[in-house]
Amino acid sequence: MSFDPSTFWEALFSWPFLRGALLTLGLTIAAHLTAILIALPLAVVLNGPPSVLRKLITAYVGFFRAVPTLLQLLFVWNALPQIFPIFREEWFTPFLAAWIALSLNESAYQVEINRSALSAVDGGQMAAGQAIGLKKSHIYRYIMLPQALRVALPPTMNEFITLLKLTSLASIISLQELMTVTQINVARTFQFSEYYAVALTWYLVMVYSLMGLQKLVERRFRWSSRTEAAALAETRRSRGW
Amino acid sequence: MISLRNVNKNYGTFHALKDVSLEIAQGEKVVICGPSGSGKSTLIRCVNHLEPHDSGEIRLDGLEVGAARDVLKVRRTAGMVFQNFNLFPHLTVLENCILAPKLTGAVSDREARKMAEDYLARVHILDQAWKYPIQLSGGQQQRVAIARALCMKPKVMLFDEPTSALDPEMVGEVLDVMGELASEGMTMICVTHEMGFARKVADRVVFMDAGRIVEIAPPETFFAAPQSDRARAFLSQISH
Repeated sequence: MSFDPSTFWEALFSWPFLRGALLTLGLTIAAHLTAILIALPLAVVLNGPPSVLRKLITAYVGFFRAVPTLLQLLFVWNALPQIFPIFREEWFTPFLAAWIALSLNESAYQVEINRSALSAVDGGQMAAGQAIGLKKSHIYRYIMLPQALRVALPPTMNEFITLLKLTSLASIISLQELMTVTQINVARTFQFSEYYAVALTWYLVMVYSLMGLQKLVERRFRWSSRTEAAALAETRRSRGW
Repeated sequence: MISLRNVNKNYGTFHALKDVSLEIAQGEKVVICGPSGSGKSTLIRCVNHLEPHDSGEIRLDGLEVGAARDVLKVRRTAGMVFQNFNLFPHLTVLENCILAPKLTGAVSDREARKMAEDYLARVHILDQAWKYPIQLSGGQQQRVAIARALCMKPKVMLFDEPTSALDPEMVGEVLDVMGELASEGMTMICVTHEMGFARKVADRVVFMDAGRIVEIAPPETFFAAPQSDRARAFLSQISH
């Protein structure tokens, strides 16, 4: 067996790999946040009455789910500058291209998650909000979204993890994320196991940290469980609300 | 206070309300009863514009119900209590009550809280104010829902089968609270099958069938000598 631990440890905390992991994480967070921002209003419209806008959104979702992510990345990076000269300039970096492509791609999936989460909230909640005279934006902000978030969180976290791994596709447009760095080192030294292990370690660290974060956020939803609501109420009471 | 004139409402091809007219004076208590699907719930949901009516006129405390600019005003004039309580599960009892007063900006946080505590005391549930809805029984939840509606200082209260989802032993506590509210002079419309409540509290009973008002009478007349065959048949069904 040939596994050189010193190569592994050295690479694990080396700047190129750290930078690659940070780029991977940064790109994922940026793209997913953008996707959620795009998806939220679209989901609210989809949750409403039928309209022309709703048909357009359905078409948008269908389109971006149908096109392979790799094709979208290549299109944004290679074809967009051909069509619009403005993208030929210096500021249009691989990171920006990947951010745009992955945001649009992810937003289509996130629309569906948010829409189903909103429709999972009991219909009586909207009626109750209307009946006490709240305007629509307040009903969504204070009644619908906090409850929909509980439903949306687990599939959203799934999406985040999928997206984290999809960023490796950006190696094809020469973004120096974790997998690109790994490939470069492997190609240079042929020490496959050491460098693959480094990449694996960083992906595991990132995903497990996020799962921990998810657990923390889910503690806020203890109101939905008969057994745990009492503990939450007690905690809040002892803190004086 | 509330006036409906020739109100019609359709759900697709289903004609839910047919030329419904009804006048309700300030302080009056009206019980609406009738078989399921007769339009009772649709009628009171039209009063606060939860359901838009298709034709006819509805007025509430001088406001035209359905006029876009007055929708929120109309809803703040009428408090509503639902069959399934519809408390906000992610907020505590107290937060349920202060959400709307705070967001509509009429009062400070402290005033909103004080007012909520007053109303929670009036529905005899102040001691549960810090709990989440899921921790309460159905009867308790419905009393919180009444307090939440009262916190907007409505001039009219609409009750949509408020005891239908309750276990029998919890019906009494909710009806008691509603009775107290009635005795304080609140204008009330109540869709219910609780005929004991209707007898005790209502000034008039409205009997509906197939989207129409079939009969309007004081409870003593209505229960002793219903005029229509349909009402007689209905009463003989529910008295079993």
